[in-house]
Amino acid sequence: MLIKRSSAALFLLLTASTSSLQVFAEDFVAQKAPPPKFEMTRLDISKRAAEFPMKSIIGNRGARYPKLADSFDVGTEPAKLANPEAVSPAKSVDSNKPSVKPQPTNEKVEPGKVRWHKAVQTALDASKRSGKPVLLFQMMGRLDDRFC
Amino acid sequence: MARTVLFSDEAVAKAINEKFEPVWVSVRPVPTVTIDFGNGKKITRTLHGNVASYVLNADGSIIDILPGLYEPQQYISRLDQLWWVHHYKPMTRDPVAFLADYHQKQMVAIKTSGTSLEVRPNADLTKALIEINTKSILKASSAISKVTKARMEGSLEHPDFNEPKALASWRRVHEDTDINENQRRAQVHEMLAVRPNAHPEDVTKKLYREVLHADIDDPYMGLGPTLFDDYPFREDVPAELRTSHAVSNSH
Repeated sequence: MLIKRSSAALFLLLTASTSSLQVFAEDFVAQKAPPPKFEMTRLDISKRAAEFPMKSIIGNRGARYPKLADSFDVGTEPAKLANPEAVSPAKSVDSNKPSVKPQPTNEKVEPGKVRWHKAVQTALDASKRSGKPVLLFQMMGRLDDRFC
Repeated sequence: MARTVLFSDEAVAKAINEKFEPVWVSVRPVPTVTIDFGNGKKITRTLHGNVASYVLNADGSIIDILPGLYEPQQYISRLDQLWWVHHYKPMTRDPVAFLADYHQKQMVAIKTSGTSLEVRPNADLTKALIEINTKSILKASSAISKVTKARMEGSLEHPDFNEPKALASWRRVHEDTDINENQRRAQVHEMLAVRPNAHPEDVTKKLYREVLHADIDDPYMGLGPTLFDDYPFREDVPAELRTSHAVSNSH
């Protein structure tokens, strides 16, 4: 009889302790848990990415960051990151477009007001018909390119 | 530059369209220099864009060449004179000898007096004239040099580059015209005097290398030594220039 009572009391005591320990543990975790780990990782990467190009250019120390160096084109990304507009979250995150204006390409333009023949032979054939001399304009690049 | 200064000019375009069968060709891609400032700003400029204007017979043989860029009025004037040379050539007893003599006389004139001889217009309409030759069509051109001086004085050191027409008054264009007329053309005449029946393909490389100082066969256009002789990082020197780089460094 005495053994049965002692066992029942012991069981109740153990159950109560476990429950209170569980509640205490949950409260503790909720208050003291460190911030999510990915936040630190993102901060760390963005810092290194922003600083990497200057370090690699001045000190030739790109080898210190082999994984980052392999992960993006060093020739294009730094310009984007270095631009003050590019680091503005509102613009860089929302628009998802490079804030740097596209550079003008060597687009086609009118080669002046002269009525050019398409080829030398065409001009020579026209010269035979008209009796006019041929004006052959030689140049580097193309007269119908913006940069010529 | 040539498109803006010359071929976009109404007077130049009119003169060319009326008197010539014009065609343009590219001898090689134009070298460009791009500076990337690293903040998204880039500038691109052309480098060493040399030009030459050939006046040809219908068979493709060369009458004469205007080397480099000219200011519009001089360009029209020179083209007009070359039109007259083309006009007179078939009237001569020996057209090839006539051209050789023309180049010889022009070369001597530039080397001795600093200016070329002027081609007389309508020489074939003069009643007293019996034969068309260099003696009858060429005359001293003191008037042209006076005009050149006056234009040089009226040129601008810093024209308004927003105005395409203002480029024609840029002093550098006038100075270049002067060099073309007083130095480069003498070299051209010297070259053509010994090859009066040459075609463009016979003289183009020599013209660019020796007269315009832009070797079109050299991938670095003669700039290799300037770019790499004092460059300390040998691994960045192109393989074809490493030998000359080492040799020039050893001196």
